[in-house]
Amino acid sequence: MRTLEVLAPETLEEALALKAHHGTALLPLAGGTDVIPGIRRGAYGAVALLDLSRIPDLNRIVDDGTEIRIGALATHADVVESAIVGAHIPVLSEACGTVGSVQIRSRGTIGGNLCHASPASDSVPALRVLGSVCEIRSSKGTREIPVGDFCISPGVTRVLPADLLVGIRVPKMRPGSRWFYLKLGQRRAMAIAKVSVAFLAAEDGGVLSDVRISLGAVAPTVCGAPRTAACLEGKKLGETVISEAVEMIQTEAKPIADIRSTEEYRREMVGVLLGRGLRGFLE
Amino acid sequence: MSVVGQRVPRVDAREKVTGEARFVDDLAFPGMLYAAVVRSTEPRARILSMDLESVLSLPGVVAVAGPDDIPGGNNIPLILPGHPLLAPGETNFCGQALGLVGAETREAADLAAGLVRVEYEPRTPLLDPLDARLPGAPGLYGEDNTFGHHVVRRGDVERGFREAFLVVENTYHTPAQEHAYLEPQGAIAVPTPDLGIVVYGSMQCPFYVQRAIAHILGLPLGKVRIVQTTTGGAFGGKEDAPSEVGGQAAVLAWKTRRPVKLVYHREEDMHSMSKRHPAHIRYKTGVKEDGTLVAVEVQMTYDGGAFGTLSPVVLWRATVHAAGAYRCPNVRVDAWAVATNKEPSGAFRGFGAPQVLFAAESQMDEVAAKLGMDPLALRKHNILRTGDETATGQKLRSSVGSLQTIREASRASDYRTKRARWGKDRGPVRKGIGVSTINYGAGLGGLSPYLTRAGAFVQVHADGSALYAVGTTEMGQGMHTVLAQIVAEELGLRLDQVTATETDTSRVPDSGPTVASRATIMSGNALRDACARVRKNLWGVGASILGVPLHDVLGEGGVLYAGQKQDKSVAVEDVARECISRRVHLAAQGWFRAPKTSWDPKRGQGDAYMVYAWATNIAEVEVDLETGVVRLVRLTAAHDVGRAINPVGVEGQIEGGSLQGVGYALTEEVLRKDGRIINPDFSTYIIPTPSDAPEITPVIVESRFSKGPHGAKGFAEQPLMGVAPAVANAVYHATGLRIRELPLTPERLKKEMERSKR
Repeated sequence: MRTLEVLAPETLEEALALKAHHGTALLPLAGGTDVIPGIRRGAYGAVALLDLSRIPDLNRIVDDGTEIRIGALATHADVVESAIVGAHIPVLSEACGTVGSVQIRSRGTIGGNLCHASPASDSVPALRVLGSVCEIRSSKGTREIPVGDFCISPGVTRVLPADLLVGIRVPKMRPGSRWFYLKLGQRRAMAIAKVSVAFLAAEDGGVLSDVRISLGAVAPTVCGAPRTAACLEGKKLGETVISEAVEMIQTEAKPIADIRSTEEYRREMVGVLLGRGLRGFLE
Repeated sequence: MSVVGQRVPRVDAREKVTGEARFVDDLAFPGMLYAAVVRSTEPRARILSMDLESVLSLPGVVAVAGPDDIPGGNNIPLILPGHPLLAPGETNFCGQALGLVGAETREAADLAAGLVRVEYEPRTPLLDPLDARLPGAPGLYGEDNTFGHHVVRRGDVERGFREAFLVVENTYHTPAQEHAYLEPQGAIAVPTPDLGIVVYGSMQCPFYVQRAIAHILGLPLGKVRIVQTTTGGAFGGKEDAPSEVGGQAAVLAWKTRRPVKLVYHREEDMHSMSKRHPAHIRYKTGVKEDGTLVAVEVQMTYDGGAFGTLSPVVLWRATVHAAGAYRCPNVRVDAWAVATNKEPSGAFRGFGAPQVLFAAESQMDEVAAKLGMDPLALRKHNILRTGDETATGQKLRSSVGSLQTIREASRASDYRTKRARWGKDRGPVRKGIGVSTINYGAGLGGLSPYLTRAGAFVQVHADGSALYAVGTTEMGQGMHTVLAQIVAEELGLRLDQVTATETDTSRVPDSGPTVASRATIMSGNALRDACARVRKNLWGVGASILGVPLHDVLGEGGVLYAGQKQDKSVAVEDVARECISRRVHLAAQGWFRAPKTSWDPKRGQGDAYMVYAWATNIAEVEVDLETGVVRLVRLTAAHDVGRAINPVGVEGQIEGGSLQGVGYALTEEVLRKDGRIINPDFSTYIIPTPSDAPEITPVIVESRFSKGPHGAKGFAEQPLMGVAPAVANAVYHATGLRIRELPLTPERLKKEMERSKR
């Protein structure tokens, strides 16, 4: 039989001490929906696993007043079912609800999803527009990195060998915020995004401000669309404004062709999804 | 009739739901080794060296085997020669088996197989089937890379096209399709002390495996016994392939004298096992002004992959079905199956017909549009009816439910209202409704007449319970439920008194393969033959107990009655006990030979199949013009099955087959780079999920087949076959876009929109 060493600490301190000692030879295991297939594929080489599931409270979702703090081990299902998330950061519920299948949502975690750093992640575009911050701990202390800076390239993040991502702090959306998360996959469930668009803005009398847009699956990491966001900033939504934004995002996005779709299709769809979301606000 | 025609639960439902069913990977034998296969990473290359011996020193590794270790023939015998079990000196596709490793654990075997060093001298691969027959193409098979060539010559197509009011000519492309059976390929080979071998495995055709392993090991057939284990789906993918998997396990078992288990990994299975033939089809249709078909001309090239396997017969079914389900006086078909450097294409539900029917039924729709006719009316006008001749000159004498499937599907879907109302939307989401009508020749047909027989064995025990054995297999399609119903019906038993043994080549004589929707007709009739013999003895004793002549005895629900009035009765249990004390023989073999078929290969004329099943599919779609996404909302599928022995099973087959057709229509596509498959798993090879399933309305039409058991004819492949064209036709109705290449992905639709704008 294949043997795999699994360390299962009972406390976060213990986990951090192990991580400090073993570094990259110890691969954190959360839901395992990416790690286990990766190990089978031989993607990680010879590693031991650091099972985080016995550490108390690492999956908690807490209302901290101005922010929601989501433990790294909260599953997509936890997020979708959380009344706190639903009330204050619904764009994240929406995004996490489109992940994989019931089984994957029940296993896969928000922290694991961030650390996998897939450009096609569903949670990351939502966390990004929300201005979320990653809480990273090591035995030496705590660091914070905005979600927008967290992923470097597919599978690569700013988490250092001795670090663990322990949670995400998500500022609450302002009342009356305008938001959407729209995704196109190859089928209606168990689908990895071909293109996704997360959108969040404040709105006052039809005028948008603090516009944030994140795009999934069109670049090596989830990315923003700052020029398009700027073009919408301070504008009153109407057909002309929307058409301009759609056109702009289609030139701003720089998608690639891969096994799931073509460059041309993705480029066009970024615009279609943005247009659909924005037109939805007019109804 | 007490059991046949009833809606009964599957006889194997409980064990499959509870997880008690034992698949090949659940089985183990004392001293068993695990095998792994060393596979080619080149589509076409000379193998300069393969260092198998170097992995023998790795922990747990017990034995290795290369081409030279095969005791008999290094060839998987089927139809054509030249398909090696292990590549000798040259490889012809990425994933081809080169060598074998046996180890104490699966992990040790996998690790070692991955470490075997193979040195290649790459050669230019042949990847495009349209290049295969061109001069200068790499020579892969025979003189012209052709595994098969079939024709149909009926009437005079030139004259037909001259007389035509309208001629429509187009080219269609269909992709390889993966079977996606839940259980991957697997086998366990167990050497026996008497120098024979038993092979257990997931398979459709134990007699094929028996023949292959006898050949590979150089043993007489009598020394080779094959036992089918519970099989988790097959769809044609386990027709010939288990001969290869079982053969690999057997070679290592023979060398080590130990049981050897070989179960493929999913990716390995998808890289190396058969797929539906990709096809390129040029289709020309000529009609009169009133829509009457006058000529059909088809030229098609099917991509057979590296080895011939079943290509000649797949191509034959494609050829016979090429002109569709219609009357046409002038038909000319030229079909080729050619070699390329890809995994061998093979059998897959529909067996060559879905490809050409996509073209044929798209053509009918296009003709209707050009004539301004309703597509359903055009089909009704041309559909084959009783007394008509098919494109191969076969006169249809009975069991022709064609028109009825059109009528019933139309009614059940409210076709007319929707057809009239839809197709005129202006918004981004457009609704459309589309039709296809097809037929399916049941059984193996005129090209392989020697295979069209089957055996069965029935035995009644002292308590009246019955045990039967057949040579065809249960692979999830529900065969054993149907056969148990037939046995219960014939002997007057309750369904719960009937049990089947696993299919085992030592139980009944060679009954041919379980393919071509033939199990119900073939094994059903063989069982009826066996049951009639047992019944004569069993009911004879019953008659003497009841004091009536044998012909007055009736049996139902485990009780024999004296005539219709049912005033005197005796339990079969008591009759069986009496038989035992009287030393009456309560066991019998049965045999069935299918009605005669014929084929003239020069003209492509003959009575190709004993009978045809018929189907009409009506698809309702919503097409999002902005995203190009096609959503199949509803599918109405009317199938003439002759007689539904178990209507629940028929509906299940309609739903499952249709969903497989939905994948073929909308998402499933094997993608390659330089000949190598780049989506060999289910996160990238996209089959439909339950959320993608349309609402399916199965409609059962029963136009009985006099030679089938209780009127039944085979049909289980048919549900897949007509879905893709019905969907494509619905997309056309919704959008005016005609897509001639499967699958209908959003990318393809958007591209077509761009093209049509220009």
